[in-house]
Amino acid sequence: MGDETVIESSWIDPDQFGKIFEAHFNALYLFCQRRVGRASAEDVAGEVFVRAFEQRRRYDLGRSSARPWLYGIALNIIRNEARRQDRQSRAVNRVASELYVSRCSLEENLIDQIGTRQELTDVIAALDGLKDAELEVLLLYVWERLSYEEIALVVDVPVGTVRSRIHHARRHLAALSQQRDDAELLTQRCKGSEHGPGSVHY
Amino acid sequence: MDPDLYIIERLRPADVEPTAQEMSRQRALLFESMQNEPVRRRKNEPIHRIRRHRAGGLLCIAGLAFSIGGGGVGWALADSSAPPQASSPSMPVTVTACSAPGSDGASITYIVEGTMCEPGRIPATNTLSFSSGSPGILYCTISGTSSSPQDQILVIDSSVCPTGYSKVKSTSSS
Repeated sequence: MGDETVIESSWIDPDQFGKIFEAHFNALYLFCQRRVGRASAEDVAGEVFVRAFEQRRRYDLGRSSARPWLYGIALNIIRNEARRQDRQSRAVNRVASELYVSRCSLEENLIDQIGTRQELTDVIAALDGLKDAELEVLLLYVWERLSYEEIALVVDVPVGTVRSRIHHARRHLAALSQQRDDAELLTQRCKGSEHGPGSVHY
Repeated sequence: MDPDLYIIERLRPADVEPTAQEMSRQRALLFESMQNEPVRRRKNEPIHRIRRHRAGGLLCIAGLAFSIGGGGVGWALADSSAPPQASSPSMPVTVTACSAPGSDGASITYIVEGTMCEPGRIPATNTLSFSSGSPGILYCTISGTSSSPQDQILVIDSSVCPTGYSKVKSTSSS
């Protein structure tokens, strides 16, 4: 039985919606964890299902998997919470960020996962060059392994827009990669020249 | 993975699965929302069977049945005509809602998560584990004893209400 059937039956028998919870809570929890960290993942994931239950009559019954729909609700919750926190923090230090996938939280991940200063520089350059909307679809594509069509459902934009954002993000990352390769090549050449023409070892 | 996207892939945090307690807490909150939903009735739609109960400051749950089978977990609701079934960890579960008038005349069901009832509450007849490894959820009455009932309780895995309580409905998992 697909999610759409369960959700439709929950219109009359609300308890049926429990099956959606059982089928997707784990995935939603992990999704939220990747976005807001472990401390808040439970609350956000739980809120997703409460809101999804309230909005279940608006579910598109042409969709057999509810997961993109649930991801979309999660992102809305996270976005709204980020904006709320942003309003609070702006009053204190004027630090404003409309990006609901916090760049700061991403960069915090780097501490554990990025080994060298060069890598850190690369990643920061990669993130800085992406627009928020591009980064979001990129994370859905790379982290969640969603198809373009599913991403379009999550962020509520046409598939063509998703394709365009990912294309632009790829191009940006590819350019960075090329710059890095060029820099490495230059470094190697410089190192080679330090030894002088007669110091090449065979 | 596209090598250009590897830098993003590397940033993906490691997955840490939710604990059974976290899942149980959020499941209970969803239950609460289900209970609090206004009963809607559309044309040609049968009258909704969900009973409304006062939640107070506690989580409220009534008339719910849970099924455990084949490693999966499901929730189901049946009416009082559903036959009670024997239970085992792999068999369908019967939940019977029993009621008694509260001090203000309203019937109340309370669910308290954990393995012990708080002072002043008494445990229902059984605990229910949703899945292997998850903690049981203990159903407790808010006050009173079976001989001097004040509130409604859920009796898990039984179709019989304690003395002094009247059966509201018996539900069996599908």
